[in-house]
Amino acid sequence: MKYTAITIGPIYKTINQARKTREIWAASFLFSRGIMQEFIDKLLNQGIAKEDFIVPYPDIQTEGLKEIGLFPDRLIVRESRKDMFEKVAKEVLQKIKSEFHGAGCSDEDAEKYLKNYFYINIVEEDIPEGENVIDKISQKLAISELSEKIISRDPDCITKFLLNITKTDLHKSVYAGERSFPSLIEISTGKMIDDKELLDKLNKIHKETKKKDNQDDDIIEKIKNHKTLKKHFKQAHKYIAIVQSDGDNVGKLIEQIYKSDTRKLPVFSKALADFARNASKKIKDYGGYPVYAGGDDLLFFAPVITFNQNIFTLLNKIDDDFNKIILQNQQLKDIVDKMDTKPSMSYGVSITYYKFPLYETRNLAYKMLTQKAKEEQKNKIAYYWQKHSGQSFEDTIGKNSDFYKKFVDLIKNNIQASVLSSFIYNLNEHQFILKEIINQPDKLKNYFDNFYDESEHKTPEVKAFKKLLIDLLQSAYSESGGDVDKTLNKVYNVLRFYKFLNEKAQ
Amino acid sequence: MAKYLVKFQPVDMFFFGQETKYRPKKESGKISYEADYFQKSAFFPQQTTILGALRYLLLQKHGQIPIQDQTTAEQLIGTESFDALQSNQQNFGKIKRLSPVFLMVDNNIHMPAPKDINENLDQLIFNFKKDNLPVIKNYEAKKSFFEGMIRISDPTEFLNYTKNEKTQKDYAFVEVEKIGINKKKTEDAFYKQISFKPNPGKNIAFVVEVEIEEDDLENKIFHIPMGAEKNTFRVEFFKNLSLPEINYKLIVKSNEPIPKSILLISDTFVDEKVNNLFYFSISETKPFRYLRNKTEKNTKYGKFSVTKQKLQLYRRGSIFFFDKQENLDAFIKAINQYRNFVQIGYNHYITL
Repeated sequence: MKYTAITIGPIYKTINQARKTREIWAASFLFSRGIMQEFIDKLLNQGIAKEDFIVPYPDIQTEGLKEIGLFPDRLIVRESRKDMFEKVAKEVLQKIKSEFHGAGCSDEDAEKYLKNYFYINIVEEDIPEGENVIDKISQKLAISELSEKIISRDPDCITKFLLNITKTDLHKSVYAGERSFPSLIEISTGKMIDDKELLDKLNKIHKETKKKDNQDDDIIEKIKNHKTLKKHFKQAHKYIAIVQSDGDNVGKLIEQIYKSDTRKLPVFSKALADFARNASKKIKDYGGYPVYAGGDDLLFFAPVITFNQNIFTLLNKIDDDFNKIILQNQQLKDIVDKMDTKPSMSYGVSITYYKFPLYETRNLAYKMLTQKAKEEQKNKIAYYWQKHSGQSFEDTIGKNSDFYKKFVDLIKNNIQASVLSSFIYNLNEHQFILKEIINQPDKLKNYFDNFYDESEHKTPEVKAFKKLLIDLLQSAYSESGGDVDKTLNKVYNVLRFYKFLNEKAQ
Repeated sequence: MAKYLVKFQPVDMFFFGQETKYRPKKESGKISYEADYFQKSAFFPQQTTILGALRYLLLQKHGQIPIQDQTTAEQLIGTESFDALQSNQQNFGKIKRLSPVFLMVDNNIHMPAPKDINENLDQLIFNFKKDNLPVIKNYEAKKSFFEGMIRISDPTEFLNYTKNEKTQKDYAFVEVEKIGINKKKTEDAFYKQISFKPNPGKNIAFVVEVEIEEDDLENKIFHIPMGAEKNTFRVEFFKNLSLPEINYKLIVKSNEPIPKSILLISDTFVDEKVNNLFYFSISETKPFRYLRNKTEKNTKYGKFSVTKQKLQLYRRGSIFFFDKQENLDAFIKAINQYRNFVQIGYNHYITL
């Protein structure tokens, strides 16, 4: 049976040229909506039946999520369709050209970019019945992307497009009349309070601050000068979280479907599309802004904290959706149950100061995902926290681990900053004691009782916190394979991060 | 005319600016560029940096820092610095030719790894198919390529740029992080800069072969500033040393005829007409900007402007495949067409 497929790009190369949040959105949206969705619409118009789509699910609903890139960068259909694909590719790219023209790139230069920058690589392959079509074609598509064309005298059309994005049709089709994709501080402070009156005041500040280069500085200044809002303004509001996530063992699930029952492929395809929609909604409810949600692949901006949650509570919610929609999917359950290692989601999270270059923050999130979270057993969260001072912390945590559960519980708490500071200080100062007793909960309890015996340490919150800390040390010890230094480092990082989440703005 | 191997040894740390050093912003409808908050040094200096360093060295040797006599200065280093878009052959005074820059580590010469090495340090195994893309069984899309160096005399010897827990190989440089303030005028303007310094215990130098009309450079030690931070480099010239030949072979397991291929051993500037010449490549482009100045009396050496026109180069390590000899010949012709680039060490390649 013959199959025809495309892969589009260069996506990451384009995203890496983006400097602002709306530019990252635009760079991703250009491909997802501007190229892939157009391509699928044209194929359907040309008579390709929905049943002939292998990937993606051809009926992706964009209702309520029109600003999100919901279409992935690959497509596979049954039958040999190379001529039709070539014709459609030309049409889709011509439409892109007019966007560039509108952004200040000359016709000639835009044409250069169509020929030598953007690609819609078409691949045809004859694959015997029963073989894993998705895997075989994906491999070929990946190889087709190794080749890069050159534009020797670069008219910088991508930069011009991104800098002028609000003038393009692509942007207007989503944000006509409304404000553009929010800035970094608009995102990070978007849900800092839940009081309606205050929220209105905050939104007014967001709306009234002109979109120029130091827009974020202006917003911060206005919040700090507002009598009430400034009381809620925390240090973490000056930071942004970027998350890149990806499904684990999804390829293996597809393999299993091919082995068991290929009729389940459309079910699986639809489940992925449903997951992407649900995850996008959860992210938006939290106060985040999804940029791309193509199946199990997510890229989004999010506040580090909201008035009652933090980034990790959001990741847990997304995980719940994944479990419900994919793992516990009634029609896929038989197949999933046969797998030794079940599919899961891994996350790369970078948390950086708002002035830190966004392209580097996104790169860090990607690196944390690919180089840390997806190593070995996968199913992990790898986070990188870059402080304004230049110090950075990172950790990779198994989501099923006891340590992760304790970590999430601990950072939900609310104890006095001065008390927390003393815990952090002592953890560092008393390393020599802790190293000896780290694996002995009774002795740890004695240590905490002896060193924290002031009245402020006897409140129920601090007592509960002490217990959590002992549990955390234990599970960190286990997670670190008995390495005492790693254990202390892990817990020290957690406490510092926890302090950061609650700190008032400086 | 003398031929030397020149060693540029960082005395402490170095910082070679990259394109991402500059961030575009819109100002009164125009695009301008400003230095970015977070800057990371490149691992190798650009060829233009090496040329600039040698020009500075010659001026310094002849007492022309600052330039006292324009005629003398022009004889030494030419009338202007490198100009990518000039069609005439440029004259850099006594400096006639540069090779690509390599890294010497304890007497072994290294270059950035060709792009057919995966992150497990295995060369890709090509199975060429007629009228189709090759099949590469040991290429995994979600994995990256090896970002490090190979020894040019023994391509199975790998060297990381910095410490890499994954590949566990030896490494050349150590990161030096600097947090600065008040780089810009706005309040609370922090910046973070990552420079590199040699791995202690390793003898490290950037090396270049040069042809230069100055016979007495040997047995002398020069100290010159190089890079964006004007870090000091110790420079020595050796007449009796030269670079070993680069021997690199692809791994092919194919029943079909093996296509002709070339490997770029320096960054390369070519017209986009070459895009129609190769049928497959493992390649990567990079933006190219450099600093320009004119040789003038009392020029405060160090006053440069960044070029406005953004150019693109193919990265060294890129590999191109051709199904016809005439296409390969045309590609080589296109590379050699830019004589100014070739002269200063860009646009060098080997056939595989």
